[in-house]
Amino acid sequence: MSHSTPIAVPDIALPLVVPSEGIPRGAEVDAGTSGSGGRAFAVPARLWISAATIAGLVALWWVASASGAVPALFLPSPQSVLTRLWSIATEGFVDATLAQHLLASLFRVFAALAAALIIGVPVGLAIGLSTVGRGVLDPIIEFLRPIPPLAYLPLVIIWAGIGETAKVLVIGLAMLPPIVIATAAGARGVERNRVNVARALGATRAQVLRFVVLPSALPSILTGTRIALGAGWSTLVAAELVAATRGVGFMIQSAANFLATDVVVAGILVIAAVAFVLELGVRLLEKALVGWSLHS
Amino acid sequence: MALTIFELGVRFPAPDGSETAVLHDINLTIEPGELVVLLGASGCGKSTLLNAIAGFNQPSTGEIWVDRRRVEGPGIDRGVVLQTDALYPWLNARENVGFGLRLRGVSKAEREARADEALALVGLEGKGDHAVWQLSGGMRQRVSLARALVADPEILLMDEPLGALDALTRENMQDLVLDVWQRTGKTIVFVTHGLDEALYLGSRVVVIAGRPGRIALDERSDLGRRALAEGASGRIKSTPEFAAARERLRGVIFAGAEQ
Repeated sequence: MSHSTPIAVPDIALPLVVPSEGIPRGAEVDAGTSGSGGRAFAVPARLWISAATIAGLVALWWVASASGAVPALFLPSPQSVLTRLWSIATEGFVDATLAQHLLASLFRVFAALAAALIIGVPVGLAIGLSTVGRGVLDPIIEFLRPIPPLAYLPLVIIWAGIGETAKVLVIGLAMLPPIVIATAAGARGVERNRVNVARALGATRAQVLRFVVLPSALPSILTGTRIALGAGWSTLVAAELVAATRGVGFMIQSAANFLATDVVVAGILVIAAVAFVLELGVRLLEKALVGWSLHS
Repeated sequence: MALTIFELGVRFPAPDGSETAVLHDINLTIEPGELVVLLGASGCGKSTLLNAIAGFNQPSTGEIWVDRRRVEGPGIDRGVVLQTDALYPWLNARENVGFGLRLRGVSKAEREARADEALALVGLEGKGDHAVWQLSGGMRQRVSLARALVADPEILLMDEPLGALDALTRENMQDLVLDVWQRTGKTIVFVTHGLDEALYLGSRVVVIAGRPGRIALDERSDLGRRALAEGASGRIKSTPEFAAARERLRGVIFAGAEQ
């Protein structure tokens, strides 16, 4: 079991409301109809507690803004944020609708993810499988890993300009270390016997890599992808601070210039919702691609 | 397909920088169709010897030959079945068995047909679609055996393949090994530390003992063949003759270990 989760996932990387094992199948469908709840459809107590916590926080927010205790400039009311969200979605804000902002941001994140995977997986395999590869590449990754993306953003702009390339580059650089480290851990963790059996069946080095090492490391690579998506999404706003004309981060930034706090809060909620959906998406992908690793 | 081991020695680096000799001066010739059991206490070097034959580790001295080819690495003439099944959990049972054929570019239809044949040979008809995690420990080792057989190796190397199974499953699997040996006529080298298992399976029992490990005994055994004639029943294990042979082997192993 230990080899299926080679790198620890910090709890804060996971959305609070969804238990790490996922929402129980049928929970949302049957919660209403079964009432008292058969054992099969029971919603975990933790989920109820989390839902109650969120409801409590929204209520607190509503009371704080409705009572006038906090001026609307600092904290707009929940209903004004919702109304604003609707108007951004239908009429738009700073020359683009919410969907256009979102699409611009998602394009950047997924372009960066594709680049990070294309570079990161081979680099991770080289670190995990070869002493020379590890010696050469590990220091570079370990150098890159702890630097906050905001710190190298100015350098990237000097090098790559203020266009789309620079934004994708910054997000990609933030995504690279988790993918490399997870791939390397997965490749190193491949059982010796699995490789030996393949060699005894006549596998070449390339075949061992393709048919044994890569599938063995895939659960770990997907875990790395999940962490990388989180890292990339959090870097997005920083990347969109500079000379962007579209994007959720850009939308929040320009709203702040106009002190349009309701847009800022709406934007934050959108960013959180998208992060949640991305997380769920990768978890579904994990279930579909490496469901076998849950059983070993 | 004779297997010849000539003056083989294996040394491993020790923590203090020196070298520990694991095997010393092993000479062994295995004739085609033999079922040779390598027997010894844990740490005697019997698995190291098997790994050297498989080509997984390089001997420090000496040579291993399969007919006129010198062993320099793993090869499809030597199939392996290991103690941990080492199945690929992302493949189902049939795909695991057909893995070696896939490496050689055999078409999918032929792969599946031959994998199903091999599965039937080890008593797993109709289990091809099962995921690895749905199979019991004994079934996994059957799949593992089928995977080695489907590549049609000349020699089958088995490294304590039944060591992790419960007692009853192990007895069943011992009968399966004898059955497969008889039906396929493969040369089998079987590593175990079980005295009963060695006597029951081996047409020849080679005891490895001492530090570094040497061959302490090498003799033919007909108990397995006779068990086969009786329908591969485990009854022979309770005969006085079997008990006497077991005591004698035990004596050799302990005498060797004290050297």
